[in-house]
Amino acid sequence: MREKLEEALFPPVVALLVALICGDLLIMSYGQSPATVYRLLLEGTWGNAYGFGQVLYKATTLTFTGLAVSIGIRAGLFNVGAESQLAAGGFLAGLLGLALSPSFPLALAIPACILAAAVGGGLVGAVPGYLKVRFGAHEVIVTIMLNFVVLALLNWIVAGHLHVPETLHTPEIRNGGIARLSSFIPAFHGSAANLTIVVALITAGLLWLHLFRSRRGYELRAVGLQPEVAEYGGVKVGSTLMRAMILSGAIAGLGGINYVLGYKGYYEEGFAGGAGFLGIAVALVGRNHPVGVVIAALFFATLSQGGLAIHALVPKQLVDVLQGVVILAVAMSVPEVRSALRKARKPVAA
Amino acid sequence: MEGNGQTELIEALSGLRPIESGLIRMGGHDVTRKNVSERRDSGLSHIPEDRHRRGLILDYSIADNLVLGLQDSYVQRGLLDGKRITANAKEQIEAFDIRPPSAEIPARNLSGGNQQKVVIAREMGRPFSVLLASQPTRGVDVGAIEFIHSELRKARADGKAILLVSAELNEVLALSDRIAVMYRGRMTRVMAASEVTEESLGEYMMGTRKDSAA
Amino acid sequence: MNPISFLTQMLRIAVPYLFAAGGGVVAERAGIISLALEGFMLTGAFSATLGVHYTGSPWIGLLCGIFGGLIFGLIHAVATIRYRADHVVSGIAINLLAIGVTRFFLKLAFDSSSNSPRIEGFGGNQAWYGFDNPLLWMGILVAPVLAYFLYRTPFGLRARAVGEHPAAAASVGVKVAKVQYIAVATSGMLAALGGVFLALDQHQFTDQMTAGRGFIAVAAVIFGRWDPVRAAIACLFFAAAETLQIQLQGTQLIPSQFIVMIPYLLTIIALAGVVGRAVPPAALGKTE
Repeated sequence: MREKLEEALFPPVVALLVALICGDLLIMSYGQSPATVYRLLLEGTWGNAYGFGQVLYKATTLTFTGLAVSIGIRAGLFNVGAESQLAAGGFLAGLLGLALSPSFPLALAIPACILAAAVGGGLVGAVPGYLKVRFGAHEVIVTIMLNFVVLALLNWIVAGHLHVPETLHTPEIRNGGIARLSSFIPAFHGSAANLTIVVALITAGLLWLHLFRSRRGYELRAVGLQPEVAEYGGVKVGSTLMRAMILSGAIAGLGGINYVLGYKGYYEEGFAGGAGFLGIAVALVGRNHPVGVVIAALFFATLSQGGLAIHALVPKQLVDVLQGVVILAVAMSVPEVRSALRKARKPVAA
Repeated sequence: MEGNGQTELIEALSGLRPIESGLIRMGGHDVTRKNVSERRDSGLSHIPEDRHRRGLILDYSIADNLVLGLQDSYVQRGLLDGKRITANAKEQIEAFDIRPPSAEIPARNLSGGNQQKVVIAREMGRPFSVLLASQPTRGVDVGAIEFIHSELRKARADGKAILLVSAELNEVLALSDRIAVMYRGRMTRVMAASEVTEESLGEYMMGTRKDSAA
Repeated sequence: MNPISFLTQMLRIAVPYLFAAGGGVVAERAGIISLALEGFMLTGAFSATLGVHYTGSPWIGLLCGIFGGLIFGLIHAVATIRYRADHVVSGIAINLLAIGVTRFFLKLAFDSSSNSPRIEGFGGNQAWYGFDNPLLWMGILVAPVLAYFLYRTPFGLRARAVGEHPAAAASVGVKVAKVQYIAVATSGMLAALGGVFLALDQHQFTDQMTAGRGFIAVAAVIFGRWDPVRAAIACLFFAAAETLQIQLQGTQLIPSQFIVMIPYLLTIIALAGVVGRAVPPAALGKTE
């Protein structure tokens, strides 16, 4: 147990240190003091209600995409398509929200739209799943390519038929809207944070249960770790992979409701804003564990929001650099840490 | 001798390799069309030739490895029953003398012999009627070899059918009631252990002597 | 539609793909997955812009671009070869890093969040149809030169061996890591040249100006089955489709979004083996 914890926690800690050092260097190249800048970053994010609300909002989307990528990785699949799965999910949710009449009960409308989001993402996720199982097509390239295809398709649909003139978004939904936090907690006034956070946390919890306490989760992890052993044990590897890819896509699709149902109330071109790709970073730093993902999502959201807060002292582009540094650092330290820890422990003699 | 089709035969019997022609019957039932888990459910156990490649998930705990292929029966209200899995592990660890006797440590940390014992505990500790045992004592220390042999004899005494594939001549001669030799993908001779002489066995293995396929 | 203008526009669009796909082929034949082509290109574009801006010479800009690509190529190399990071993750990280770094220095050097000031490029004389740009020639020459190096030189043989069976190559004395470092560094420099062409052709650097071209290059590599000449043909094909779309802009025959999809759909189809199998180098992606 302790070994697993070590292997899990060392890389993000290392990455954090590396990022801090890089941050220090870049901040100093701007003639600023790192301490001042970091303090301003924290004040602007966790230090005030609006900033914190923004952090929560961004972390919510990242939680979904991070969970999506992490479940794929647990099954041995690399889902780089979270960006388009997110968009497809948001689109279908927005479509349903538009189609439902305002008199339809909200208590049914919201779950229906949430389901629509999951279906949207799941459909997109099914494509690489099917191609992998049936043809052995590598899901990394398929998902990357599919991103472009799906986004272009969505663009064609919205730009052609569904957009409000002079804008890049669909008309506002008539039903299915999710309340902002500011309607309960006035301090959050102005921030985009909404009750989707609850959905995100529930999803994380359910995913944890599924992965570590259910039979299908046991099989999924087995397939991800040693597919030949899973096969020997009678697990149907192909259908497990297919299920994992659909699940991954569906979770990413769910992320779409944060913007579409909770924030703006419509689907907009480009609303995903890179959250799909950042989800990969979140999954990586969160070590593919639901709890880790939530924490990592908060971290990256803080970084992102923090960039805006320190704008006066240092360009917010600093944050973009740090994001890349963190991902690279974690990617580099995972195998290093693993082999270092393995060497340090010896197998127990019979 | 290895490389004559023994691996493929075991794979075909266990369901890991598709069959082009022929029939497999177990206990009078035709299992040719059944997949791996269906055959297991019908009473087939399999100790794989390469425990690292097929037999154990090294990052899973001993307890989790002990339910591989059996996870269906540990489901309680939609989730895996952790208590029963742990209880099962404790039982097996004791019965098969697995060391270190801790259910939660990853299989990776065990010695070769103890890893093999985990596989054997799983495959022989469950109800089965036919056992495929492929190189069961490979890479295992002397003490564990003795133990494994005695388990195999116990199962035989219990009326179980065992197909033992081994490159160790002594092991084959010591344990078997009937011995089959495979040469270039065919069974060239099946004989009772009492009929066997070392020379004739050697000749069949080299392929210099063949009878009709069994 | 005038065939000459179609061809010249097509070539102009193809050059960045030709460079980047060439880089992709080199790295992947040696076993390193190259999703960082986008980042290499962007870095090359920005470095070149800096170089031209401060010296006025496009040739210095070109050298700076190559240098920028070299640095980022080496980052990818160290991460994947020395630290055995997952190739895909490293590639994505480098793309994000490139965006971040170029944005950061764009602000620092030019005090802008979107673009640099205007810079001199190569050529520009309409009468030459773009052929007065040395980069155009270099872009066209990438594929045949690479094919020569890959198939007819000892280094090429070693590189291909490393990408198929590194263990076997090592056993006959090939320094696997060294070959891979050279391959990845080369891919960085080549892809960067694609960015250099872009920046000099558009006479400025704009934020994220590569706009996914690096991924089209990846598609070309796969569609061309990791062969330099076939990949180049794929690049030309994709560029032709893009040119067609631009020239047909007003006519609305096929919506532009579907033209955009073509390279990506084709790659997916290639991977599904519908047009024969796309089999990558055997040891691609494995440096663990």
